[in-house]
Amino acid sequence: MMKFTIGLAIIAFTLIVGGYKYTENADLVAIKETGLRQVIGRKDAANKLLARYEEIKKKSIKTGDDQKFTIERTLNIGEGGLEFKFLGQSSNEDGDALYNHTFRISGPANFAELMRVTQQLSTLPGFSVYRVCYACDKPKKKQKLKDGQHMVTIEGYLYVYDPNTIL
Amino acid sequence: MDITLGQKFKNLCFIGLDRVEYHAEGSDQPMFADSWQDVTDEQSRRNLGLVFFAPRELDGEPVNPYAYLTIEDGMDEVDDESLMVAQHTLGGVPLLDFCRMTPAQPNTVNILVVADIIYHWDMQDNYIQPTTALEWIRDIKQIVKGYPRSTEFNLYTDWEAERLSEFRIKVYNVSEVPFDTHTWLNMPTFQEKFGLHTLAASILIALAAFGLTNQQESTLDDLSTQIRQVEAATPRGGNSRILAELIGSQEEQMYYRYLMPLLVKDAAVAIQASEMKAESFEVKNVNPKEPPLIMLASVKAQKGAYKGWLQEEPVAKKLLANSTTWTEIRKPPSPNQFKLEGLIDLESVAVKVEEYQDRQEQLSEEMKALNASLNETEEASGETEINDNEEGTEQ
Repeated sequence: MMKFTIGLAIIAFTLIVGGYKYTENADLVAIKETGLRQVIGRKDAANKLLARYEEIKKKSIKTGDDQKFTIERTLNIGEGGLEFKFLGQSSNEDGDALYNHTFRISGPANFAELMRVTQQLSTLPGFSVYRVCYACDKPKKKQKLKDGQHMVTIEGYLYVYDPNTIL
Repeated sequence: MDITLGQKFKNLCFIGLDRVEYHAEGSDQPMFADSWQDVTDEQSRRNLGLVFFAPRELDGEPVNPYAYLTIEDGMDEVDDESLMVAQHTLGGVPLLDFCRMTPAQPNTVNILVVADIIYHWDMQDNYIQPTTALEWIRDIKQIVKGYPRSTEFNLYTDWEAERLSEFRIKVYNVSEVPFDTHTWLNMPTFQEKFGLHTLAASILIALAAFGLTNQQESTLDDLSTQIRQVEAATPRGGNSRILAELIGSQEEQMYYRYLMPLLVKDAAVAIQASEMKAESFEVKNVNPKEPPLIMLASVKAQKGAYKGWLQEEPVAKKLLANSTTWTEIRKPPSPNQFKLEGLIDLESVAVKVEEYQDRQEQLSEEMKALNASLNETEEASGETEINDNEEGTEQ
Protein backbone atom coordinates (compact mmCIF):
# COMPACT_ATOMS: atom_id res chain seq x y z
CA MET A 1 0.00 0.00 0.00
CA MET A 2 2.82 2.33 0.94
CA LYS A 3 4.67 1.59 -2.26
CA PHE A 4 1.56 2.25 -4.32
CA THR A 5 0.91 5.54 -2.57
CA ILE A 6 4.49 6.68 -2.86
CA GLY A 7 4.53 5.64 -6.49
CA LEU A 8 1.38 7.59 -7.24
CA ALA A 9 2.73 10.60 -5.41
CA ILE A 10 5.96 10.49 -7.38
CA ILE A 11 4.04 10.15 -10.64
CA ALA A 12 1.77 13.07 -9.78
CA PHE A 13 4.66 15.23 -8.67
CA THR A 14 6.65 14.35 -11.76
CA LEU A 15 3.76 15.07 -14.09
CA ILE A 16 2.97 18.41 -12.49
CA VAL A 17 6.46 19.73 -11.94
CA GLY A 18 7.97 17.96 -14.91
CA GLY A 19 5.16 19.04 -17.18
CA TYR A 20 5.49 22.65 -16.09
CA LYS A 21 9.25 22.56 -16.48
CA TYR A 22 8.98 20.88 -19.87
CA THR A 23 6.56 23.45 -21.26
CA GLU A 24 8.61 26.28 -19.80
CA ASN A 25 11.78 24.92 -21.35
CA ALA A 26 10.03 24.28 -24.64
CA ASP A 27 9.00 27.95 -24.76
CA LEU A 28 12.54 29.02 -23.92
CA VAL A 29 13.94 26.77 -26.64
CA ALA A 30 11.55 28.29 -29.16
CA ILE A 31 12.56 31.79 -28.08
CA LYS A 32 16.25 30.92 -28.28
CA GLU A 33 15.82 29.37 -31.72
CA THR A 34 14.07 32.50 -32.93
CA GLY A 35 16.85 34.58 -31.40
CA LEU A 36 19.46 32.45 -33.10
CA ARG A 37 17.76 32.86 -36.46
CA GLN A 38 17.63 36.60 -35.94
CA VAL A 39 21.28 36.78 -34.95
CA ILE A 40 22.28 34.69 -37.96
CA GLY A 41 20.17 37.00 -40.14
CA ARG A 42 21.91 40.05 -38.68
CA LYS A 43 25.30 38.46 -39.21
CA ASP A 44 24.45 37.62 -42.82
CA ALA A 45 23.18 41.15 -43.38
CA ALA A 46 26.32 42.62 -41.82
CA ASN A 47 28.55 40.39 -43.96
CA LYS A 48 26.60 41.31 -47.09
CA LEU A 49 26.94 44.97 -46.22
CA LEU A 50 30.67 44.55 -45.75
CA ALA A 51 30.91 42.80 -49.09
CA ARG A 52 28.96 45.63 -50.74
CA TYR A 53 31.24 48.13 -49.07
CA GLU A 54 34.33 46.34 -50.40
CA GLU A 55 32.80 46.39 -53.88
CA ILE A 56 31.84 50.05 -53.70
CA LYS A 57 35.37 50.94 -52.59
CA LYS A 58 36.59 49.69 -55.96
CA LYS A 59 34.26 52.21 -57.59
CA SER A 60 35.44 55.10 -55.36
CA ILE A 61 38.64 57.01 -54.81
CA LYS A 62 40.51 57.12 -51.55
CA THR A 63 40.51 60.10 -49.23
CA GLY A 64 43.46 62.24 -50.16
CA ASP A 65 43.20 61.53 -53.86
CA ASP A 66 40.20 63.87 -54.12
CA GLN A 67 42.43 66.88 -54.86
CA LYS A 68 41.90 69.31 -57.77
CA PHE A 69 45.38 69.03 -59.22
CA THR A 70 45.55 65.26 -58.82
CA ILE A 71 42.32 64.88 -60.72
CA GLU A 72 43.28 67.37 -63.41
CA ARG A 73 46.47 65.45 -63.90
CA THR A 74 44.60 62.17 -64.19
CA LEU A 75 42.17 63.65 -66.73
CA ASN A 76 44.92 65.50 -68.54
CA ILE A 77 43.15 68.81 -68.25
CA GLY A 78 43.87 72.20 -66.75
CA GLU A 79 46.21 75.07 -67.70
CA GLY A 80 44.05 77.23 -69.89
CA GLY A 81 41.76 74.43 -71.00
CA LEU A 82 39.21 72.51 -69.03
CA GLU A 83 39.35 73.24 -65.34
CA PHE A 84 38.19 71.04 -62.48
CA LYS A 85 36.60 72.50 -59.38
CA PHE A 86 34.55 71.28 -56.43
CA LEU A 87 31.13 72.80 -55.87
CA GLY A 88 30.28 73.47 -52.22
CA GLN A 89 31.26 71.27 -49.33
CA SER A 90 31.56 67.52 -49.40
CA SER A 91 28.81 65.42 -47.85
CA ASN A 92 31.17 64.12 -45.15
CA GLU A 93 29.74 65.70 -42.00
CA ASP A 94 29.89 62.88 -39.46
CA GLY A 95 33.12 61.14 -40.46
CA ASP A 96 31.29 58.60 -42.63
CA ALA A 97 33.17 55.87 -44.38
CA LEU A 98 31.70 57.07 -47.70
CA TYR A 99 31.02 60.59 -48.88
CA ASN A 100 30.91 62.56 -52.12
CA HIS A 101 31.80 65.87 -53.72
CA THR A 102 29.92 67.71 -56.40
CA PHE A 103 32.29 68.76 -59.14
CA ARG A 104 32.25 70.79 -62.29
CA ILE A 105 34.66 70.65 -65.20
CA SER A 106 34.33 73.68 -67.43
CA GLY A 107 36.28 75.55 -70.02
CA PRO A 108 37.00 75.69 -73.73
CA ALA A 109 37.22 72.38 -75.57
CA ASN A 110 36.36 70.85 -78.90
CA PHE A 111 33.93 67.98 -79.25
CA ALA A 112 36.68 65.35 -79.40
CA GLU A 113 38.14 66.46 -76.11
CA LEU A 114 34.69 66.61 -74.58
CA MET A 115 34.12 63.01 -75.61
CA ARG A 116 37.53 61.98 -74.33
CA VAL A 117 36.96 63.48 -70.91
CA THR A 118 33.38 62.19 -70.76
CA GLN A 119 34.59 58.71 -71.68
CA GLN A 120 37.28 58.86 -68.98
CA LEU A 121 34.79 60.03 -66.37
CA SER A 122 32.47 57.12 -67.24
CA THR A 123 35.17 54.56 -66.36
CA LEU A 124 37.42 56.12 -63.72
CA PRO A 125 36.57 55.12 -60.12
CA GLY A 126 34.47 57.59 -58.17
CA PHE A 127 33.01 59.72 -60.97
CA SER A 128 29.33 59.87 -61.89
CA VAL A 129 28.38 62.54 -64.45
CA TYR A 130 24.84 63.88 -64.43
CA ARG A 131 25.19 66.81 -66.87
CA VAL A 132 27.15 67.46 -70.02
CA CYS A 133 26.65 70.71 -71.85
CA TYR A 134 28.28 71.69 -75.13
CA ALA A 135 28.37 75.34 -76.05
CA CYS A 136 25.87 76.26 -73.34
CA ASP A 137 27.99 79.08 -71.90
CA LYS A 138 29.71 82.06 -73.45
CA PRO A 139 33.46 82.47 -73.09
CA LYS A 140 34.77 84.96 -70.58
CA LYS A 141 35.99 88.31 -71.71
CA LYS A 142 39.48 88.14 -73.11
CA GLN A 143 39.12 84.39 -73.47
CA LYS A 144 39.79 83.34 -77.02
CA LEU A 145 38.51 80.06 -78.35
CA LYS A 146 40.42 78.06 -80.92
CA ASP A 147 38.78 76.69 -84.05
CA GLY A 148 36.16 74.10 -83.24
CA GLN A 149 36.22 74.94 -79.56
CA HIS A 150 33.18 75.81 -77.49
CA MET A 151 32.58 76.33 -73.80
CA VAL A 152 31.96 72.94 -72.24
CA THR A 153 30.49 72.07 -68.84
CA ILE A 154 30.52 68.68 -67.18
CA GLU A 155 28.96 68.27 -63.77
CA GLY A 156 28.72 65.22 -61.55
CA TYR A 157 29.54 63.55 -58.27
CA LEU A 158 32.89 62.31 -57.04
CA TYR A 159 32.58 59.46 -54.55
CA VAL A 160 35.26 59.02 -51.91
CA TYR A 161 35.90 56.40 -49.23
CA ASP A 162 37.87 56.89 -46.06
CA PRO A 163 39.96 53.76 -45.29
CA ASN A 164 40.65 55.02 -41.75
CA THR A 165 37.02 54.92 -40.73
CA ILE A 166 36.32 51.85 -38.59
CA LEU A 167 33.08 50.19 -39.60
CA MET B 1 -14.24 -18.65 -19.11
CA ASP B 2 -13.75 -19.24 -15.36
CA ILE B 3 -10.29 -19.34 -13.93
CA THR B 4 -9.26 -22.57 -12.27
CA LEU B 5 -7.17 -23.10 -9.19
CA GLY B 6 -4.33 -24.52 -11.27
CA GLN B 7 -4.32 -21.44 -13.49
CA LYS B 8 -4.16 -19.14 -10.50
CA PHE B 9 -1.48 -20.96 -8.50
CA LYS B 10 1.39 -23.01 -9.85
CA ASN B 11 1.70 -25.04 -6.66
CA LEU B 12 -1.23 -26.17 -4.49
CA CYS B 13 -1.18 -27.52 -0.95
CA PHE B 14 -4.35 -28.81 0.67
CA ILE B 15 -4.33 -29.01 4.48
CA GLY B 16 -6.51 -31.81 5.73
CA LEU B 17 -7.24 -32.99 9.26
CA ASP B 18 -4.03 -34.87 9.88
CA ARG B 19 -2.11 -34.60 6.67
CA VAL B 20 -1.49 -32.39 3.72
CA GLU B 21 -1.59 -33.08 0.02
CA TYR B 22 0.84 -31.10 -2.13
CA HIS B 23 0.51 -30.64 -5.89
CA ALA B 24 3.71 -29.25 -7.42
CA GLU B 25 3.80 -27.59 -10.81
CA GLY B 26 4.31 -30.12 -13.56
CA SER B 27 3.96 -33.08 -11.24
CA ASP B 28 1.38 -35.81 -12.01
CA GLN B 29 1.36 -37.38 -8.58
CA PRO B 30 0.58 -35.51 -5.37
CA MET B 31 2.82 -35.63 -2.35
CA PHE B 32 1.57 -36.30 1.17
CA ALA B 33 3.06 -35.13 4.42
CA ASP B 34 2.15 -34.16 7.95
CA SER B 35 2.82 -30.46 7.55
CA TRP B 36 2.80 -28.11 4.59
CA GLN B 37 6.26 -26.84 5.58
CA ASP B 38 7.63 -30.34 4.96
CA VAL B 39 6.73 -30.36 1.28
CA THR B 40 7.39 -26.74 0.34
CA ASP B 41 10.47 -24.58 0.19
CA GLU B 42 11.15 -20.89 -0.26
CA GLN B 43 10.89 -21.03 -4.00
CA SER B 44 7.71 -23.10 -4.21
CA ARG B 45 6.01 -20.88 -1.62
CA ARG B 46 6.32 -17.91 -3.97
CA ASN B 47 3.68 -19.47 -6.24
CA LEU B 48 1.84 -21.53 -3.65
CA GLY B 49 -1.87 -21.59 -2.89
CA LEU B 50 -2.45 -22.94 0.61
CA VAL B 51 -5.94 -24.37 0.82
CA PHE B 52 -7.50 -25.27 4.13
CA PHE B 53 -10.96 -25.98 5.38
CA ALA B 54 -11.97 -23.98 8.45
CA PRO B 55 -15.58 -24.51 9.39
CA ARG B 56 -17.35 -21.57 10.97
CA GLU B 57 -17.57 -21.10 14.69
CA LEU B 58 -20.75 -21.93 16.48
CA ASP B 59 -21.68 -18.26 16.28
CA GLY B 60 -21.36 -18.46 12.53
CA GLU B 61 -18.33 -16.16 12.31
CA PRO B 62 -15.42 -17.21 10.10
CA VAL B 63 -12.25 -18.40 11.77
CA ASN B 64 -9.00 -16.46 11.89
CA PRO B 65 -6.94 -18.35 9.32
CA TYR B 66 -3.66 -17.83 11.15
CA ALA B 67 -5.25 -19.09 14.35
CA TYR B 68 -6.72 -22.09 12.57
CA LEU B 69 -3.41 -22.99 10.98
CA THR B 70 -1.53 -22.56 14.24
CA ILE B 71 -3.83 -24.26 16.70
CA GLU B 72 -2.87 -27.80 17.57
CA ASP B 73 -4.77 -30.67 19.08
CA GLY B 74 -5.81 -29.96 22.59
CA MET B 75 -5.46 -26.23 22.24
CA ASP B 76 -8.51 -24.07 22.77
CA GLU B 77 -6.97 -20.75 21.92
CA VAL B 78 -3.87 -19.34 20.34
CA ASP B 79 -1.94 -16.62 22.05
CA ASP B 80 -0.95 -13.43 20.27
CA GLU B 81 2.67 -14.35 20.09
CA SER B 82 1.87 -17.57 18.29
CA LEU B 83 -0.38 -15.66 15.92
CA MET B 84 2.44 -13.28 15.09
CA VAL B 85 4.82 -16.15 14.53
CA ALA B 86 2.23 -17.80 12.28
CA GLN B 87 1.79 -14.63 10.27
CA HIS B 88 5.52 -14.29 9.88
CA THR B 89 5.93 -17.94 8.89
CA LEU B 90 3.16 -17.82 6.36
CA GLY B 91 4.35 -14.49 5.07
CA GLY B 92 2.54 -13.57 1.88
CA VAL B 93 1.49 -17.10 0.99
CA PRO B 94 -2.06 -17.00 -0.39
CA LEU B 95 -4.47 -18.57 2.10
CA LEU B 96 -7.67 -20.07 0.72
CA ASP B 97 -10.44 -21.14 3.09
CA PHE B 98 -12.68 -23.34 0.99
CA CYS B 99 -15.33 -23.20 3.68
CA ARG B 100 -16.08 -19.72 2.37
CA MET B 101 -16.82 -21.12 -1.09
CA THR B 102 -19.71 -19.60 -3.02
CA PRO B 103 -22.68 -22.00 -3.17
CA ALA B 104 -22.79 -24.22 -6.22
CA GLN B 105 -25.24 -23.94 -9.07
CA PRO B 106 -28.73 -25.38 -8.46
CA ASN B 107 -28.90 -29.15 -8.87
CA THR B 108 -25.11 -29.38 -8.81
CA VAL B 109 -22.78 -30.79 -6.21
CA ASN B 110 -19.04 -30.28 -6.32
CA ILE B 111 -16.84 -32.68 -4.40
CA LEU B 112 -13.17 -32.27 -3.60
CA VAL B 113 -11.15 -35.23 -2.30
CA VAL B 114 -7.67 -34.30 -1.06
CA ALA B 115 -5.36 -35.09 1.89
CA ASP B 116 -7.65 -36.98 4.29
CA ILE B 117 -10.94 -35.21 3.77
CA ILE B 118 -13.90 -35.07 1.48
CA TYR B 119 -15.20 -31.57 0.97
CA HIS B 120 -18.34 -30.99 -0.96
CA TRP B 121 -20.55 -27.98 -1.52
CA ASP B 122 -23.98 -27.60 -3.00
CA MET B 123 -26.54 -24.88 -3.47
CA GLN B 124 -27.13 -24.47 0.21
CA ASP B 125 -23.91 -25.08 2.10
CA ASN B 126 -20.55 -26.78 2.17
CA TYR B 127 -19.56 -29.87 4.13
CA ILE B 128 -16.37 -31.56 5.22
CA GLN B 129 -15.79 -35.10 6.46
CA PRO B 130 -12.71 -37.20 7.10
CA THR B 131 -11.86 -40.08 4.80
CA THR B 132 -9.10 -42.48 3.95
CA ALA B 133 -7.63 -43.89 0.80
CA LEU B 134 -9.58 -47.10 1.34
CA GLU B 135 -12.93 -45.66 2.28
CA TRP B 136 -13.26 -42.57 0.18
CA ILE B 137 -15.13 -44.33 -2.66
CA ARG B 138 -17.73 -45.60 -0.24
CA ASP B 139 -17.97 -42.14 1.32
CA ILE B 140 -18.55 -40.61 -2.11
CA LYS B 141 -21.33 -43.07 -2.83
CA GLN B 142 -22.97 -42.15 0.46
CA ILE B 143 -22.83 -38.50 -0.47
CA VAL B 144 -24.28 -39.18 -3.92
CA LYS B 145 -27.16 -41.15 -2.42
CA GLY B 146 -28.10 -38.13 -0.37
CA TYR B 147 -29.04 -36.14 -3.45
CA PRO B 148 -31.77 -36.53 -6.04
CA ARG B 149 -30.98 -38.60 -9.09
CA SER B 150 -31.09 -35.57 -11.31
CA THR B 151 -28.21 -33.92 -9.46
CA GLU B 152 -25.05 -33.29 -11.39
CA PHE B 153 -21.86 -34.29 -9.58
CA ASN B 154 -18.39 -32.88 -10.22
CA LEU B 155 -15.53 -34.65 -8.48
CA TYR B 156 -12.14 -32.99 -8.16
CA THR B 157 -9.34 -35.32 -7.12
CA ASP B 158 -6.06 -36.74 -8.29
CA TRP B 159 -6.78 -40.04 -6.57
CA GLU B 160 -7.60 -43.12 -8.61
CA ALA B 161 -11.29 -42.76 -9.52
CA GLU B 162 -11.91 -45.50 -12.03
CA ARG B 163 -14.38 -47.24 -9.72
CA LEU B 164 -16.60 -44.19 -9.84
CA SER B 165 -17.04 -44.41 -13.59
CA GLU B 166 -20.26 -46.39 -13.20
CA PHE B 167 -21.77 -43.47 -11.40
CA ARG B 168 -22.84 -40.33 -13.13
CA ILE B 169 -19.93 -38.39 -11.69
CA LYS B 170 -17.67 -36.21 -13.75
CA VAL B 171 -14.10 -36.50 -12.58
CA TYR B 172 -11.62 -33.62 -12.84
CA ASN B 173 -8.11 -32.94 -11.61
CA VAL B 174 -7.66 -30.96 -8.47
CA SER B 175 -6.12 -28.14 -10.47
CA GLU B 176 -9.41 -27.74 -12.32
CA VAL B 177 -11.33 -26.65 -9.25
CA PRO B 178 -12.97 -23.32 -10.14
CA PHE B 179 -11.24 -20.45 -8.46
CA ASP B 180 -13.51 -18.48 -6.13
CA THR B 181 -12.17 -15.14 -4.94
CA HIS B 182 -14.28 -15.35 -1.79
CA THR B 183 -12.06 -18.13 -0.55
CA TRP B 184 -8.85 -16.13 -0.87
CA LEU B 185 -8.50 -14.55 2.53
CA ASN B 186 -5.36 -12.53 2.07
CA MET B 187 -5.86 -11.64 -1.56
CA PRO B 188 -3.72 -8.60 -2.22
CA THR B 189 -5.57 -5.44 -3.03
CA PHE B 190 -4.94 -3.64 -6.25
CA GLN B 191 -2.55 -1.35 -4.41
CA GLU B 192 -0.66 -4.22 -2.85
CA LYS B 193 -0.55 -6.13 -6.10
CA PHE B 194 0.70 -3.27 -8.20
CA GLY B 195 2.44 -1.25 -5.53
CA LEU B 196 5.92 -2.27 -6.59
CA HIS B 197 5.05 -1.85 -10.25
CA THR B 198 3.68 1.61 -9.59
CA LEU B 199 6.74 2.59 -7.63
CA ALA B 200 9.04 1.26 -10.35
CA ALA B 201 7.02 3.02 -13.03
CA SER B 202 7.06 6.26 -11.07
CA ILE B 203 10.84 6.08 -10.72
CA LEU B 204 11.17 5.43 -14.45
CA ILE B 205 8.82 8.31 -15.25
CA ALA B 206 10.73 10.58 -12.91
CA LEU B 207 14.03 9.56 -14.51
CA ALA B 208 12.57 10.08 -17.96
CA ALA B 209 11.26 13.50 -17.00
CA PHE B 210 14.61 14.35 -15.47
CA GLY B 211 16.41 13.19 -18.59
CA LEU B 212 14.03 15.12 -20.83
CA THR B 213 14.38 18.36 -18.91
CA ASN B 214 18.13 17.84 -18.79
CA GLN B 215 18.18 17.45 -22.53
CA GLN B 216 16.16 20.63 -22.88
CA GLU B 217 18.59 22.45 -20.61
CA SER B 218 21.44 21.15 -22.71
CA THR B 219 19.70 22.34 -25.86
CA LEU B 220 19.19 25.76 -24.28
CA ASP B 221 22.87 25.94 -23.38
CA ASP B 222 23.85 24.94 -26.92
CA LEU B 223 21.59 27.58 -28.38
CA SER B 224 22.96 30.23 -26.04
CA THR B 225 26.50 29.26 -27.01
CA GLN B 226 25.64 29.42 -30.69
CA ILE B 227 24.05 32.82 -30.26
CA ARG B 228 27.13 34.11 -28.47
CA GLN B 229 29.42 32.70 -31.15
CA VAL B 230 27.38 34.21 -33.97
CA GLU B 231 27.22 37.56 -32.22
CA ALA B 232 31.00 37.49 -31.70
CA ALA B 233 31.51 36.75 -35.40
CA THR B 234 29.13 39.49 -36.52
CA PRO B 235 30.92 42.59 -37.82
CA ARG B 236 30.12 45.52 -35.58
CA GLY B 237 30.76 49.21 -35.33
CA GLY B 238 29.32 52.26 -37.02
CA ASN B 239 25.79 52.77 -38.14
CA SER B 240 25.03 50.05 -40.61
CA ARG B 241 21.81 51.69 -41.70
CA ILE B 242 23.57 54.89 -42.74
CA LEU B 243 26.32 52.93 -44.46
CA ALA B 244 23.73 50.89 -46.35
CA GLU B 245 22.00 54.10 -47.45
CA LEU B 246 25.28 55.64 -48.64
CA ILE B 247 26.24 52.51 -50.55
CA GLY B 248 22.76 52.24 -52.07
CA SER B 249 22.76 55.86 -53.14
CA GLN B 250 26.16 55.56 -54.80
CA GLU B 251 25.26 52.30 -56.53
CA GLU B 252 22.12 53.90 -57.97
CA GLN B 253 23.89 57.04 -59.14
CA MET B 254 26.70 55.10 -60.83
CA TYR B 255 24.55 52.33 -62.31
CA TYR B 256 24.14 53.90 -65.79
CA ARG B 257 27.18 56.18 -65.81
CA TYR B 258 28.78 54.16 -68.61
CA LEU B 259 25.99 55.34 -70.95
CA MET B 260 26.77 59.07 -70.70
CA PRO B 261 29.37 59.15 -73.52
CA LEU B 262 26.93 57.29 -75.78
CA LEU B 263 24.12 59.75 -75.01
CA VAL B 264 26.34 62.76 -75.72
CA LYS B 265 27.61 61.25 -78.95
CA ASP B 266 24.13 60.21 -80.02
CA ALA B 267 22.80 63.73 -79.48
CA ALA B 268 25.66 65.19 -81.50
CA VAL B 269 25.21 62.66 -84.31
CA ALA B 270 21.45 63.25 -84.39
CA ILE B 271 21.95 67.03 -84.60
CA GLN B 272 24.49 66.66 -87.39
CA ALA B 273 22.41 64.11 -89.32
CA SER B 274 19.27 66.21 -89.13
CA GLU B 275 21.30 69.27 -90.23
CA MET B 276 19.79 71.31 -87.44
CA LYS B 277 21.25 74.76 -86.95
CA ALA B 278 22.02 74.16 -83.31
CA GLU B 279 23.65 76.64 -80.98
CA SER B 280 24.19 74.25 -78.07
CA PHE B 281 23.04 70.96 -76.68
CA GLU B 282 22.91 69.43 -73.26
CA VAL B 283 22.35 65.99 -71.78
CA LYS B 284 21.42 65.94 -68.10
CA ASN B 285 19.62 64.23 -65.27
CA VAL B 286 16.71 66.54 -64.54
CA ASN B 287 16.96 65.85 -60.79
CA PRO B 288 20.59 65.02 -59.94
CA LYS B 289 19.70 64.02 -56.40
CA GLU B 290 17.55 61.16 -57.70
CA PRO B 291 18.92 58.04 -59.41
CA PRO B 292 19.31 58.68 -63.14
CA LEU B 293 16.58 56.61 -64.82
CA ILE B 294 15.42 59.30 -67.23
CA MET B 295 17.72 61.80 -68.94
CA LEU B 296 16.82 64.89 -70.89
CA ALA B 297 18.64 65.96 -74.02
CA SER B 298 18.06 69.64 -74.86
CA VAL B 299 19.01 71.25 -78.13
CA LYS B 300 18.87 75.02 -78.65
CA ALA B 301 18.68 76.29 -82.14
CA GLN B 302 20.55 79.34 -83.32
CA LYS B 303 18.58 82.53 -82.90
CA GLY B 304 16.39 83.31 -85.83
CA ALA B 305 17.28 80.06 -87.60
CA TYR B 306 13.72 78.78 -87.64
CA LYS B 307 10.60 80.76 -88.03
CA GLY B 308 7.46 79.03 -87.04
CA TRP B 309 6.43 75.47 -86.45
CA LEU B 310 6.32 74.66 -90.16
CA GLN B 311 10.09 74.94 -90.20
CA GLU B 312 10.59 73.59 -86.71
CA GLU B 313 8.49 70.46 -86.93
CA PRO B 314 10.48 68.74 -89.71
CA VAL B 315 13.66 69.41 -87.77
CA ALA B 316 12.14 67.86 -84.68
CA LYS B 317 11.07 64.76 -86.59
CA LYS B 318 14.47 64.36 -88.20
CA LEU B 319 16.16 64.77 -84.88
CA LEU B 320 14.03 62.07 -83.28
CA ALA B 321 14.50 59.78 -86.26
CA ASN B 322 18.27 60.17 -86.26
CA SER B 323 18.66 59.53 -82.56
CA THR B 324 18.96 55.95 -81.33
CA THR B 325 18.46 56.83 -77.68
CA TRP B 326 15.60 59.32 -77.66
CA THR B 327 12.10 57.87 -77.20
CA GLU B 328 10.11 61.13 -77.40
CA ILE B 329 10.72 64.69 -78.41
CA ARG B 330 8.93 67.86 -77.47
CA LYS B 331 9.20 71.56 -77.95
CA PRO B 332 9.16 73.22 -74.50
CA PRO B 333 7.86 76.73 -74.04
CA SER B 334 10.69 79.04 -75.01
CA PRO B 335 9.65 82.51 -76.08
CA ASN B 336 13.03 83.73 -77.30
CA GLN B 337 14.61 80.71 -78.84
CA PHE B 338 13.62 77.47 -80.59
CA LYS B 339 14.42 74.60 -78.29
CA LEU B 340 13.79 70.87 -78.45
CA GLU B 341 13.93 68.31 -75.66
CA GLY B 342 14.38 64.60 -76.15
CA LEU B 343 13.42 62.04 -73.51
CA ILE B 344 15.93 59.25 -72.86
CA ASP B 345 14.92 56.11 -71.00
CA LEU B 346 18.20 54.75 -69.68
CA GLU B 347 16.84 51.29 -69.00
CA SER B 348 15.81 50.73 -72.61
CA VAL B 349 19.12 52.21 -73.82
CA ALA B 350 20.99 49.78 -71.58
CA VAL B 351 19.00 46.87 -73.05
CA LYS B 352 19.83 47.99 -76.59
CA VAL B 353 23.51 48.30 -75.71
CA GLU B 354 23.53 44.82 -74.20
CA GLU B 355 21.84 43.36 -77.26
CA TYR B 356 24.33 45.12 -79.51
CA GLN B 357 27.26 43.77 -77.50
CA ASP B 358 25.81 40.24 -77.62
CA ARG B 359 25.46 40.51 -81.38
CA GLN B 360 29.02 41.73 -81.66
CA GLU B 361 30.26 38.80 -79.63
CA GLN B 362 28.29 36.39 -81.75
CA LEU B 363 29.69 37.87 -84.95
CA SER B 364 33.15 37.72 -83.51
CA GLU B 365 32.73 34.02 -82.73
CA GLU B 366 31.48 33.33 -86.22
CA MET B 367 34.41 35.20 -87.76
CA LYS B 368 36.84 33.19 -85.67
CA ALA B 369 35.22 29.94 -86.77
CA LEU B 370 35.32 31.08 -90.42
CA ASN B 371 38.97 32.02 -90.21
CA ALA B 372 39.82 28.71 -88.62
CA SER B 373 38.10 26.77 -91.44
CA LEU B 374 39.80 28.95 -94.10
CA ASN B 375 43.18 28.21 -92.55
CA GLU B 376 42.51 24.50 -92.60
CA THR B 377 41.50 24.67 -96.24
CA GLU B 378 44.68 26.57 -97.14
CA GLU B 379 46.82 24.06 -95.30
CA ALA B 380 45.13 21.16 -97.06
CA SER B 381 45.55 22.75 -100.51
CA GLY B 382 49.20 23.54 -99.67
CA GLU B 383 49.90 19.88 -98.88
CA THR B 384 48.23 18.78 -102.10
CA GLU B 385 50.53 21.08 -104.17
CA ILE B 386 53.60 19.70 -102.40
CA ASN B 387 52.52 16.12 -103.11
CA ASP B 388 51.86 16.95 -106.81
CA ASN B 389 55.32 18.56 -107.14
CA GLU B 390 57.01 15.52 -105.64
CA GLU B 391 55.20 13.15 -108.02
CA GLY B 392 56.17 15.33 -110.98
CA THR B 393 59.85 15.24 -109.89
CA GLU B 394 59.89 11.44 -109.63
CA GLN B 395 58.44 11.04 -113.08
